[in-house]
Amino acid sequence: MNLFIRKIRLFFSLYWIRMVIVFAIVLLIVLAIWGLMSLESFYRYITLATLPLQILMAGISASIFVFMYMSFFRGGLGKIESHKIKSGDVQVKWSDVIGVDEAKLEAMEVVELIKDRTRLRKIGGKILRGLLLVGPPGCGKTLLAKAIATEAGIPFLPMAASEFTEIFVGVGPLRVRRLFKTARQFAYGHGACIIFIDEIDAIGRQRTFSMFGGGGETNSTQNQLLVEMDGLKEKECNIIVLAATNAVEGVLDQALLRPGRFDRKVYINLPDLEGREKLFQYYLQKVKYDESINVARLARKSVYKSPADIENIVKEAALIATRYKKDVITYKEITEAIERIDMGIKHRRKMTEKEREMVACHEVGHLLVLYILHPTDDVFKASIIARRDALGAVHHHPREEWITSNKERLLANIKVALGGFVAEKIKFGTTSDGVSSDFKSAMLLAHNMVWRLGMGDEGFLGDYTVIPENQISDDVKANLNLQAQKIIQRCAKEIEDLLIKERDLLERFIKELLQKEELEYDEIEAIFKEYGKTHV
Amino acid sequence: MACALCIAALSGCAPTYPKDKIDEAIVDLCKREYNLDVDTKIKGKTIGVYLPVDNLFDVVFNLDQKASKKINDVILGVSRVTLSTDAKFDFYVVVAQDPKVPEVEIVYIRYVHDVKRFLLGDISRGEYAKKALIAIKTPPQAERERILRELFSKLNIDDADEMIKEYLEGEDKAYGIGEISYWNKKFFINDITLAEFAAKQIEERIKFEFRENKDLNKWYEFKSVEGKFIKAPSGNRFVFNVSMANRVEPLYLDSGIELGSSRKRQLVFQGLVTIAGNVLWAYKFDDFERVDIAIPEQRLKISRDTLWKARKGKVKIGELL
Repeated sequence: MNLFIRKIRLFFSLYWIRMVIVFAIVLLIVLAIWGLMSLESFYRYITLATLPLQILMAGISASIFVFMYMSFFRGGLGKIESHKIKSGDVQVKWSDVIGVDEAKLEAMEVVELIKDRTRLRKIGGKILRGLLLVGPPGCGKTLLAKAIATEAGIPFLPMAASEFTEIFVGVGPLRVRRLFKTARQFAYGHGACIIFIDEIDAIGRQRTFSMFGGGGETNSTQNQLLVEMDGLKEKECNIIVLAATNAVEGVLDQALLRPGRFDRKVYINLPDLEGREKLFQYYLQKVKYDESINVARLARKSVYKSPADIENIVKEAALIATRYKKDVITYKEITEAIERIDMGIKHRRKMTEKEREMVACHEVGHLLVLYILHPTDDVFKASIIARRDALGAVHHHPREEWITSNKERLLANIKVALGGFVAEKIKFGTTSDGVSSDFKSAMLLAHNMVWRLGMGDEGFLGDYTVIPENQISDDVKANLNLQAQKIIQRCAKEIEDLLIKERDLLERFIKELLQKEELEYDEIEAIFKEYGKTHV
Repeated sequence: MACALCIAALSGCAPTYPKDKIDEAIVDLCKREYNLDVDTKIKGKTIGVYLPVDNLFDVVFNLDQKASKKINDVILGVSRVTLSTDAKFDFYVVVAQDPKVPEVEIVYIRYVHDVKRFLLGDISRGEYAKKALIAIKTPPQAERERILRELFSKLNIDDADEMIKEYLEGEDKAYGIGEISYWNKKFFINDITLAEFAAKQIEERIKFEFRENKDLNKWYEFKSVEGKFIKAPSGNRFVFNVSMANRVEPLYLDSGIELGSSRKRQLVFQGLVTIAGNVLWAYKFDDFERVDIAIPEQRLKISRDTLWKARKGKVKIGELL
């Protein structure tokens, strides 16, 4: 009964303006009827006959007024929806959150805490105020927040942090106050409420204190958020603030991260092999697909892909299948979708035969080094069809997620990058400008190995990039750079020896690539086996 | 729109003055709102209202201001009732008379549709005024009685009153729009038709034209006009006989152009045809074959279709004469 009265009071407090408007409209209608009844029938008919026109004119006048008001005072019609808040109808279950199991476990625990606040209080536990979901884009932070709201069974007020920011001074803090006011009303009526602020880095970046007042509005908005979150503690409101960001911790203001505001941080990482397999199964269930598709193989092929990427792959595959007029999605469409997303759409560029040979040779250089020397990556495709800015590409992926890279892996990456250059040099005695991006990545790797990772030969240990440049002697700098160059030279020599030794294989792949333009994994594997080569 | 429908549905569409109580309604309304006692009579689609007014005219025979206000009040009242009733009235008549001087009366006739058009802004105030028939006259019945009395007096008949009463006894009905009157506590009224109303209105407009048009005034001395609608098996027609006399001078237009008599007559016919055509066109009245217009020494017979063309200036009157 008490809850019922609370809900009625909540209804009145939330919708009193609407109720007043409805009452006013009803009153006006009654008065209009009364007025009409008092008229003689002829004048009544005239009034009724002109009523639609009057309503139309009133509508047009009101529209013009709203348009003018929104244009001149509110920054355009695009701002009408900026305050829209949904609640209650979020329907995302735990089962819909896939591939982020550890984060899900933490979220479940949070839900239990929200549900069992009384028990928590009894044992003197502190109530959770804020939960920060941190992770790369597309990993399901928003989805997880929705699942928390659904499973906790309490109202959910989502808002993007960018909605707080406005050209007008004071609008951001005002919106924060309004959001928390609404949340308190919901918490009063329903027992609890969740506020979800997406992309919180838009207002949560470290505050700037400039004598010119720059960033004042963002600071004010963030200050208001901090005050409101502190206020939750004072007023004992059952409100939990969820926030999501893909910004690293250093980007957000420390005041926001301290205990008492966002007490807990849930890190959501890219899904592992098992997670990706489940994600493929989940999204494939939503479309018609060939049952014989090897989902495990797809999962292996999509290392470092986020749940959003996987969803996109299935969507793209459906589009490709539609284009080919197929009833179901097959493995081929999914592979093509992955390639399209990773490598871009093919576009035919007219090249001279000499150029084609040069490109083919370059790509085969990468391909041979990758297959023979790389310890972690598999090659999936080699192509001399232009995509994006590249005239050719060798598509490869690690066999499994590698969170770290050892020296051998880094060296292998440098060798693969240099493979194109060395192959061109061996076959044509000259090289092209197609090696620039390869050199850039090779140089960066070698530089980092020496300057930051202590992987040079001369025994320089430590991260020299943290030292201000003017505090490092020129000798040390020259020595470090020399070390990096030595690594590159050594790698280049090693692969030169390799490619000279495998010249027949090199020529064979160039010929195949010039003929077919693209070589798939199976074809590549077959040719290597023909020459008695196996993957390291 | 929903509100409009809701209001329309709830407010109802019943007429304010039901047709079976229309007489009472007018009497009540005039008494309640204007404190005036009136009498009413209905004939077909025409409703008549008799208003007795003391001191209708002052000593110099001008309409008294208070009396004028009372007449206007009754006109407004009868307009309201005829507009807000389910009885389909076409015309209303208001007869105002001083009971002490019943020999002079004011008769006011209106077409109800004209009132609607005026209230909806379809016609101007000036045009609305021209569409009313207003006459200050002696009741024709009184005139007849006077003639009989004179006759009996000459014949030295003593019981003239008895005989006159017997002679004039009969149905209190008017034979035409010009006979609408109130005499000896009898309301003489007929069911006015649009044709005779239009004929009378054209007649009044011709008078107005001769009075206001400077050229016509210079050329002719206007005497009278008589307009009527004649129903005949050979074809209905309007007939207008204009009586006028030539003035000797001047014979020039304002522009200084000298005019021959045939050219003057042509211009007179042009004006009369335009008046007739405009009035009949405005009422969308087409139940006639032709219009006959006669002036001294010349007559013009113009068919309906030619009349419509002539009012738009597509036919030259000179070609028809």
